[in-house]
Amino acid sequence: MNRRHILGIFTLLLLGGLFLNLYEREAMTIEEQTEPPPTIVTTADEKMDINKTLEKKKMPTRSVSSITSSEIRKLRNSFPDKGDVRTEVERNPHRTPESLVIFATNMGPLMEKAYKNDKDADVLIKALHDCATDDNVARSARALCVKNVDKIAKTHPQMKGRAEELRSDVSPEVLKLLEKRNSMMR
Amino acid sequence: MKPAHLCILPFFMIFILASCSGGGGGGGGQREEDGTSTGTTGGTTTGDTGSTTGGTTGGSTGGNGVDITYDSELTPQEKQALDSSTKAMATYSIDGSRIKYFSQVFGGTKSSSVVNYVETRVNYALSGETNYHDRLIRAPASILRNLQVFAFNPSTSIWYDSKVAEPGGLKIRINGKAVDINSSRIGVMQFGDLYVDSPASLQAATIVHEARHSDCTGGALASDIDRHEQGIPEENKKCGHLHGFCPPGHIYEGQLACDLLPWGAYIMDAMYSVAIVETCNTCSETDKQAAEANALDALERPAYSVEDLFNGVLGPPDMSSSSQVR
Repeated sequence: MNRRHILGIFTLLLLGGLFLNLYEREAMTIEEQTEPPPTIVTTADEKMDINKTLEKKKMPTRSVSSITSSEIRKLRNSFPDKGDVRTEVERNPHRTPESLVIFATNMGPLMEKAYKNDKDADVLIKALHDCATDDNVARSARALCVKNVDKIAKTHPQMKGRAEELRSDVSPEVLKLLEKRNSMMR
Repeated sequence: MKPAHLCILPFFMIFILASCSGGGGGGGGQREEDGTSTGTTGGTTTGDTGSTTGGTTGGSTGGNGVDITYDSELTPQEKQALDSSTKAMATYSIDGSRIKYFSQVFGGTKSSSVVNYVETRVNYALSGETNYHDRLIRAPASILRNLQVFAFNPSTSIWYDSKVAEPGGLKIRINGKAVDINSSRIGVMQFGDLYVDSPASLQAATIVHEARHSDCTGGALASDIDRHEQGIPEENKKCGHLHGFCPPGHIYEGQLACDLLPWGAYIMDAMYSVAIVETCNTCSETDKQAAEANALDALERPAYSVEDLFNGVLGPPDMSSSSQVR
């Protein structure tokens, strides 16, 4: 076996290795395309870990919500109770009810996430739907929730149906308040 | 995406390998859209002088964007909150043309118009801890109520006090200087601890709301000056656009939390807040959420038909103010 043979074998091995590598990469890409997203977890804190894992593997994160369950819990806990709001108005009639302001402030960062990511939008819409249809929640807060679902659906048109569904589920008094708001628009 | 067999070509494989691996890596990525704009901030900043008035107690003139004289008793937190909220008010890039009657109310459609509207009606910022009665020269001092203070515009009440004290009237001491009280547009506003803790958009909307209380639309009734002297609530709610008790059936029934007459402070508040929500491209989402919540709450307060108001049934806004007594 002379040097040419050795070089030939080496080249074949090299080419074989490259073919194999290439085939595996393509197979993986096709798998990524055809398999369902790696997770459909929506609200669990484990999502943070999943995100980290996906980051390490350099896999797409499109199907994972970045809104954590504790953020959703915090939002749900801040749904302004209509009795509390009335008490706040009795205590300080001139002021926007504090619980409503806290609720809106909690909402801001979650809405930002929902605009950017459809899974976050999905997670938030569920909470907003519960807020909008709960008769114990203050009317102004319920109207805010309906309005926010509308805004999310504008960014993610595939969720338009859910916004329409919500409008058919909420009480007329909430829609009446939104009509008041809309009456000022040109 | 290229099919796998295209990549298994013997002679150009290194080049193709490079292109395939690039394509495979990029295919599953998601482009995140940045929903914010980095455009220029609209509106103008006026009166940002920051100079002292030279009063004996060392107050300062000029907010951070709106020309308001700061009283020396304002706490550092109140000053800071006023600075940030007036700066926000002056720099929010809003377009009020999308809101009916906006330009009739504010005199234009931009933030600069809202600033002018406020500057016409709010001239002096007092601390929530200041008992303004103590500042009325020749007026008897009253006991300071131990309440948490959000924001309060006592300008019409101060003007009524001055009318009660005629002939001679009253002056109000601001930063050691006696200021004439010629009308409800004396524009004295108090800002307290609850104001300090609020989001900037809510603070800005609150100034817009309170500013309306400086307008005595149509002038005052002589009978109301007598009632004021006796400590009885005034009848003419148009002078100062005073709030009234919410009617039976209202969610805040029996509370002094409603506007009984059109174009009151809550509608100004709601219109400005909705302008922030719908048109501001320099506001944060949290500011917009606070503004939306504020607008929806404000729209609960009118005891008349808001739809009729904006459909023109209740007539256009009268943004004038009179110091006549009839």
